[in-house]
Amino acid sequence: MIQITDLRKTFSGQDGRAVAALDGLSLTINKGDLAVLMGPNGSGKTTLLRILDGQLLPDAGRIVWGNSAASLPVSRLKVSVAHVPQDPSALAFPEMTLAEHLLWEELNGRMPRFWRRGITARRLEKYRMLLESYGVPALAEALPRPLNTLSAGWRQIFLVLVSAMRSELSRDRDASFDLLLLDEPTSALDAENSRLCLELIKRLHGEGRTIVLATHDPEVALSLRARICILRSGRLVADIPAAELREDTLPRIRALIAGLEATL
Amino acid sequence: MADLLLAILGVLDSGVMQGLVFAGLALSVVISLLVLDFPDLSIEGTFPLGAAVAAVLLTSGEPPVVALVAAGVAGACGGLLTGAVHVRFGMSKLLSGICTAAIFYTLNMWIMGGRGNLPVLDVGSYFTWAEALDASLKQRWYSSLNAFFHPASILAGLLVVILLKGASDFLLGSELGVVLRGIGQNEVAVRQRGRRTGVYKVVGLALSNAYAGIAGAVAAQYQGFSDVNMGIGVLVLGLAGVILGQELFARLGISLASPQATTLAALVGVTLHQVILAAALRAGTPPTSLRLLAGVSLVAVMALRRRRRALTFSW
Repeated sequence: MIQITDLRKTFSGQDGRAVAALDGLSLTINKGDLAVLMGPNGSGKTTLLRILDGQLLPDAGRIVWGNSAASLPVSRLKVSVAHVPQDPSALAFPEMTLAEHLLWEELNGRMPRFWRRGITARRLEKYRMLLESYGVPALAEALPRPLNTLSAGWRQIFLVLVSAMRSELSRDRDASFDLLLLDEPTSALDAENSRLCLELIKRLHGEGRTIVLATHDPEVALSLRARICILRSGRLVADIPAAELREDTLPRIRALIAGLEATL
Repeated sequence: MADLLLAILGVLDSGVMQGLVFAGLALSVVISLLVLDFPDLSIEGTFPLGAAVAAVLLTSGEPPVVALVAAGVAGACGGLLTGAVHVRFGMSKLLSGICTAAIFYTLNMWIMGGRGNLPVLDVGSYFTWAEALDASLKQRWYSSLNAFFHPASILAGLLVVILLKGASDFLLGSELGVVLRGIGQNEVAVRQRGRRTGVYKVVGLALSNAYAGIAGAVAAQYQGFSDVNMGIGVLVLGLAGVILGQELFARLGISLASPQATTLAALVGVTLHQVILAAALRAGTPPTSLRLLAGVSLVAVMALRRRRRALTFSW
């Protein structure tokens, strides 16, 4: 369980004025949750993800991970957090092979050895089995290919998957908490690739992964049948459990995002 | 007809020999530019540094192998300086290399005892036995011909190059190699994964300059002297070799998707480039225009490249 209490983060804007990205956000994410963060631009979604993965420190507030008593930075906790940013190519190595990307995850948190071969037959076989176990044999076939030879859709799916596999490949294996953060995973994809990507996310959730996903698109939230947390001006304005999602929820979500709940 | 054949053989002989002498430079450029994406100008200082160190050790009676190893270590120190200046003080990649090259211009003269030139002709060098063998081969087989070939020296050079290539292939194929290449591809992504890039850049540059230093030591032993100016333009020589080799392999449809293939392409390229330069010399180009030719041929290869893309590479 991640308990976020009264989280605040202020940036200085272009004209020097302080802009509150998070303004007293409180939210609880349970182990195995799939929580979809929604809200207009500047509502604090990405800031929250960046605080959760340790890139940013909050100005105030507490984040309590699992049963650890204190609110510590992520780097000092035994948790595994993988963050796929809005443009995942920012964390990719375009000319390196898929297998080498998986090796990067395996090397996470330890020194690379110059006396050990990088891509060995044993590692390739392990990666192949892993990718097949996630139901993407096409990617298992493409392991020796450079990332930039993949289509944009498959590239996105692969990078989401790589982040999800971090906890299985690296020393994070014995982490007490395993969190996957996805920022707009489908915004750059066409309909077919979006569907594939969402299926992968559902599958990861089905396996008990804890996932926090930020999106603009209410359709994404509905098709995932996930809990929807709506943020506006750095605060949580609505928290709709997955069980309460119905056909007629969509207009209500749209209204909440637009700030029109008073008229409902 | 026989004259033409002899001329062609002569060009091949001297071109291949020069190619083997400069092979270390090509491997150095593979590591700095292709792997780390670092256009490292410091090899213009560490190549003559290797030559100077080797010449001083040889003239003081050390065996040639010691001279080669010491030149590699000295070159690595030059790489450490470039890396440290770039990482620690945030100097740009180009400037930190230029800075190191300038510093070592003076240091190299100090190492050679305040001189700009140190001959190693009258002391035993790595190539001494091979040259003696070449001379006896001529006497036995073709003493009447107006030509001289270096099969034994070429074999001796090849031995060093095979060792250098084996070492670089091993390192580039290791876990460390994957990390170094990742830094060259996307430094920000490496930092985001919580890994410091500075120390790896320094290690990579030390490695690359060790190769340049060894190449300098080989060159000094083959030419019979070390000169403080022998570093001018060597980056162009290494770079031309790497690009020529990549283009050749691409046109022949040979995959470059492994460290082995990439380093082989660089070695083939640097040798081919030297054969072309040897042919130009043979055709009457004055030796003073050799750097001009090297530069122009690099531009020509860049212009004729089929795949005009940035110099980053995949294996």
